Amino acid sequence: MTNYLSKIFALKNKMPLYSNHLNTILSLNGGGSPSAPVPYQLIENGDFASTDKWSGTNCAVSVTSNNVGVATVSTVNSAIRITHEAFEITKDHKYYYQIFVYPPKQIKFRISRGTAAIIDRTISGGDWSRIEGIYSSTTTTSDLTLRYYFDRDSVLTKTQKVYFSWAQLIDLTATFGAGNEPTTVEEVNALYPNSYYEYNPAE
Amino acid sequence: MKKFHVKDEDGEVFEVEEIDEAPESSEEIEESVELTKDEILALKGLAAVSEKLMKLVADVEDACKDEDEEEKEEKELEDEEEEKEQIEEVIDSDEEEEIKPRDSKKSFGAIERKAKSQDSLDESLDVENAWAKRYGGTK
Repeated sequence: MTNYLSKIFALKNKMPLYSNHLNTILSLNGGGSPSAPVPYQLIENGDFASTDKWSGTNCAVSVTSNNVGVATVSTVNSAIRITHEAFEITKDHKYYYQIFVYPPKQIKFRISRGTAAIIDRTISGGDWSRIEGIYSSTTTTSDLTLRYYFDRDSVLTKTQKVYFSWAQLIDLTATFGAGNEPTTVEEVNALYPNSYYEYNPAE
Repeated sequence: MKKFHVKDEDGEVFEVEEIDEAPESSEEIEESVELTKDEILALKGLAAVSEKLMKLVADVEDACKDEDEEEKEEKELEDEEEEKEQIEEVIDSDEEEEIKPRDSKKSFGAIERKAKSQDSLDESLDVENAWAKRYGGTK
């Protein structure tokens, strides 16, 4: 089910005459614009089909059979995080980031590029939260590590688990062209339904 | 495999074996999204009933969760627990934290066995239910 929408978007681009029928199927999953191009998605294995590309610091990373990433606390401190393997980003490009998080109790959550924070958010416990936003890169680097800190205020205890799903980073500039990018999260959500899109870097 | 005896120009006899030719390697089939008229017609028909099909698929998926699958999930949970027990602590260097010395009373790599609790299963169920409640579908 996780790759289903990506495949439909790919088919839509290759078979424009047939896109109405594919839109019917898309609408069953919450919508998506008929004009939305295939998104350039930079996170590999963001659907947590395995632990490939992911590592844990002060926690162990595993996955469940239904593609949920699990971080199990091994050392209690404020730097507990899961990290995605390094990839390339481009200066002045705009990126849409998203991840779903389920902590056992309220936590302070942070997404950062390296050690530089992109977003800080307090998340309620016992429920899924969608963390998303748009980030403009100020540098070009082939060595960006995306970090997801999940206990900035050290409230979790050893062996407690935090669950993750559908991490993605869409290069909006590569997808829509410079100057044509959606500028708000709401615009991105209108174009792409609440789902996961396959790893698809711009060439 | 057949064997033959053949003579050369000098009258010497050689034993020759018939060698089976290797089957031709199958050509790589290129993936194509071009559809025939029949396929397009079939897909159009499919799209028309897609809503019903999606519902049917969801129903069948629920019904097909048999014992094997449950055993598999249980096994994965056990593996997960074991993995958790064997992890080596990693300290974040960026935060300049002190590395705590290991407890000398325990031998390095010792595995502490823990009784499997119902709590972890309940927690997984809570996570799945929370997803279904908030976003629909299974997780």
